[in-house]
Amino acid sequence: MGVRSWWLRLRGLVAREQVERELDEEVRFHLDMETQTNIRRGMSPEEARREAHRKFGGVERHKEAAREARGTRPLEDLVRDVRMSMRGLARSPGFAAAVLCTLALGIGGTTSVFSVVRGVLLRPLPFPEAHELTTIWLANDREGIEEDVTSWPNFQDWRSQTDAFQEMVAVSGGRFTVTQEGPAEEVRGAFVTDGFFDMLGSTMHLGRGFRAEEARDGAAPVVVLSHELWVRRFGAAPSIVGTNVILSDRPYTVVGVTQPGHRHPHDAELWTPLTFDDGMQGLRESRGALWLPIMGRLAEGVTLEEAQAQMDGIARRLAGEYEVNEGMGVNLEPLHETLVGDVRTPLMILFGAVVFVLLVGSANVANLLLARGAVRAREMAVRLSLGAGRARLIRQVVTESAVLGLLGGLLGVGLAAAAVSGLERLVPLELPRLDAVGLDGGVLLFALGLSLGAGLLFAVLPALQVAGADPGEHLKEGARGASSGGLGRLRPLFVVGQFAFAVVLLVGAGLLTRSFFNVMAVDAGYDPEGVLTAEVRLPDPRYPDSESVRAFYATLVPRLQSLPGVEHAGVITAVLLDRLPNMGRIALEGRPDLEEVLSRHSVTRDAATADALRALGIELITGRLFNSTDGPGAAMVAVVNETFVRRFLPEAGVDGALGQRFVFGDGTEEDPGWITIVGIVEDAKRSGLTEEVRPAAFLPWTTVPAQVGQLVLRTGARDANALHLVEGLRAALQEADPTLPLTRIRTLEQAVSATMAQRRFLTVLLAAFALAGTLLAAVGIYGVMAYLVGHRTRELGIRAALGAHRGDIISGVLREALTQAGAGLVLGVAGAMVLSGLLRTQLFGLEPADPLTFTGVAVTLLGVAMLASWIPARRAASVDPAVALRGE
Amino acid sequence: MGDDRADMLQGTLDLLILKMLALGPMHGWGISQRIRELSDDVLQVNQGSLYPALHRLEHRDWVRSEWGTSENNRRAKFYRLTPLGARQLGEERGGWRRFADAVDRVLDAEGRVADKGPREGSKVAGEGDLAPA
Repeated sequence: MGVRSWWLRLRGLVAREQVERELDEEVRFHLDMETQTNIRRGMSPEEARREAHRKFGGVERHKEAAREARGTRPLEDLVRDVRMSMRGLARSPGFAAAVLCTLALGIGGTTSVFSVVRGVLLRPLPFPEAHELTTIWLANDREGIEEDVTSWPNFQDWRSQTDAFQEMVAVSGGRFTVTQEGPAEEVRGAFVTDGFFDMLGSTMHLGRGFRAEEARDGAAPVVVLSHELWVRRFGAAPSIVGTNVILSDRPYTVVGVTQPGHRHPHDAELWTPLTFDDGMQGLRESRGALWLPIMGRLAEGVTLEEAQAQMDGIARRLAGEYEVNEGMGVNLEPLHETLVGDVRTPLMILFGAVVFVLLVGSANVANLLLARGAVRAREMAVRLSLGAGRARLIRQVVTESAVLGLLGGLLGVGLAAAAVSGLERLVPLELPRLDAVGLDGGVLLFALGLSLGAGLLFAVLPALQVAGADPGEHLKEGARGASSGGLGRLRPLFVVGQFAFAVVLLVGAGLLTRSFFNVMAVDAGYDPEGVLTAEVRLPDPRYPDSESVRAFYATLVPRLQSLPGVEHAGVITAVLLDRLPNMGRIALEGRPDLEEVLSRHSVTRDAATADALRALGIELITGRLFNSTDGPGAAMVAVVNETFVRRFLPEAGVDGALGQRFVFGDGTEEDPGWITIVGIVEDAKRSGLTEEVRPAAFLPWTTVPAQVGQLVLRTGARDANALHLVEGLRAALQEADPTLPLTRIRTLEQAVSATMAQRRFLTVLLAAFALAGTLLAAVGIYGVMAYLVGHRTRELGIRAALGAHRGDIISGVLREALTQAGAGLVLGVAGAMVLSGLLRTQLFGLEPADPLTFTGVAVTLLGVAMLASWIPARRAASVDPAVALRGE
Repeated sequence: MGDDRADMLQGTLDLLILKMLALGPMHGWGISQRIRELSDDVLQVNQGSLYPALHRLEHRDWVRSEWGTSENNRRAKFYRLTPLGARQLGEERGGWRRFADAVDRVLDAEGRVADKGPREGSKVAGEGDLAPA
């Protein structure tokens, strides 16, 4: 049957009325002609017509046969079945609402999470041949940092010595202040070596990337803007290329604007060539100064393994040539992995959880369908006995389930659309590749498959009910849904399954919640309450040297300290250490035995005023903090933390460490820059509550002031909200320099909380899923117990009549419920033991097989089972024996 | 009624219709009339199976239909043979001939099994010679 056949079928379906009319007309013509012939043969008109009709046979039957031959029957049947299903659902709105709600939430949730998984994890990066893009990490085996950044000289050597990469660029992040055409705004930018845009393969919306001459030191500054920034701050002016914009108080010439969505790396909004100012020459030459992230594109046909082998060789050569490179290797990682590797596990956990919720909800839907099937058993029996084909009825029932599935799926997709569009607001953290998340074809296909699959799966049960239905049974007097009795045995199994899944969900949520609280309970080593922080950036042109920076803060800090309500105020280079803290290498004085090994270790290096440390609540253990004698011209001093002492001066101990000297590796021959330790402070977890503390050294702000400083203010009042200080802070800054924007204003509590954003999000979401799953399981067990009780009214009535105690009956029902729940619990615990191992990386302070959590979950669910079964139990006990025995 | 027999009869009807249309486009009634005429009233097409057959043939794209005016100025649905149908007609003709020969041979059997080939005096189905349905 070829194309013609399908065309005719389509026409038969679409233009059905017209086709019917044509059939009519054709038959009528035939009959008329036949009649006329008969008349010519001598019959009377009525006789003629009758004869014609007789010869033709049953007109309707033949029309029907012709229709059959048209072959559109199955489609017409389907359309009719669907219509009937819709009508049937409209007649049972309660049932329909329950099923559709459950399915919508289940399918909607699963689709939402899937769209995130697909966009973030599955989609390749939006660059040509994106699998070739690689992050090139320094494997810092000495300090056990597998993914470290490297130095400029290393970068140059890697680049020139390899042929496994067609291009290699350095990409260093930075922040810029935009003040033009609007309020001061801080945006992320990146310093890149030339070849960056070519390597990525990205096209420009306007203009071009960087040329080699623009990347030379001393060249006029140029910038490429992101599409979003161009629209947001520069009015999408098409003539922007070639004009100057002011960034962080410096003029840059715009040479290009990227396509929308191009924000690599780390949401950068502008890119400028990486050049070395006069002050930065040390960084250019120092091989030990690790600050540069490197990316590359593999050469054609080169695999990651081959490139890794070659880079290993290069790293070994360099380690042999340069002492400072000893123990340094290279680690290659696909760029996609770098961006999303961290969120893979949490996302997959969430996906698994939401699928479980869908399964638990589906069990409820199956129960509802079984119940409905039992109710309509009588109707089915009547139809069967009237001659309806069993296959026909089964087909109808299957259609109904499919319609339910698809409708539920449709609603679910609507929910998912709403969730995904609001994703940026709902999700409090920066998901990598959020721009790639959306309801695209693949996601919709997934939702369709899920809906159809659910619908057809559900269809199995009612279909079995119809298939096994015995009309005689149902038409007897007093028949009690006999056919569902067989399938009704499945219901307790559903409960077992639901509770098993609920256990897994609750265990997961429980473990994560306890981890969360464990993290919160960590002693941070500083006191985050009542502390306000803000960042100030002093632009180069007006503050070109240390003297001007020092002078600025010399006026600002006293003003801050004298603000009402301020107990301590100061400035520090970093409050909390983000991914790439300021590090430096040290060598200790007079420790010939340790010098070889330890001199290679690095410490975090910060400049701070004494009051800043006090404001942060970092306790002094021994010695002193900085005072007015520690300034430019005086001997260099430092305050170090306990870990510093433990790591480098273990025998000296805290008291013996005072007076020891060390030096950073960036000194010169004549003036190594010896620093004396004058104070020891307690460890502060500035890298996040779950991270190990690194050895830290604090230098006096007055000797090494920085252009970017974090102001720290502590309120005197215990429970005062630190944000009250913002007004005063702004005013003070205004007085000192009205043109400076104040950015990153937040309390220390908020800053700490932000480090836990991902953990919190995962925990909250998983807890929500677990709650949903538990509620659904409770509804499930309630429904099943209610059904069982209703089913046995007669038996219960007899027992009551025979004198059974109310209490006995209630406990009997509860025992049955507990058995089902208990079986589910056992299965669930076994499953949870296995699956919780997957959570290991997300846990803190407890093991995946934590007995307390498991016990708590088991007890909770048993309680839920009892609670949910309470009402049916009571109803069982209050059955009136007389009514039951009458057997309505 | 066995399926095979229905198929055979269906096939025969299809063949007749295709042949009629090879002589020129016709409407359904015209086809049944012509068949009756040409067979001297022997073959009276069950008119209730005529139209299903026509629709079947149309699905196979062996005939196409279009509305036109009949000889007595009435609107009627005319059918005509397609090239595909013409080729099918040729094939079915051959098949029919082989079938008719086979039936003849069986019917003329006189008890001897191993005879092959046409026997003297046996009828060989020729053009225009249609066996009774």
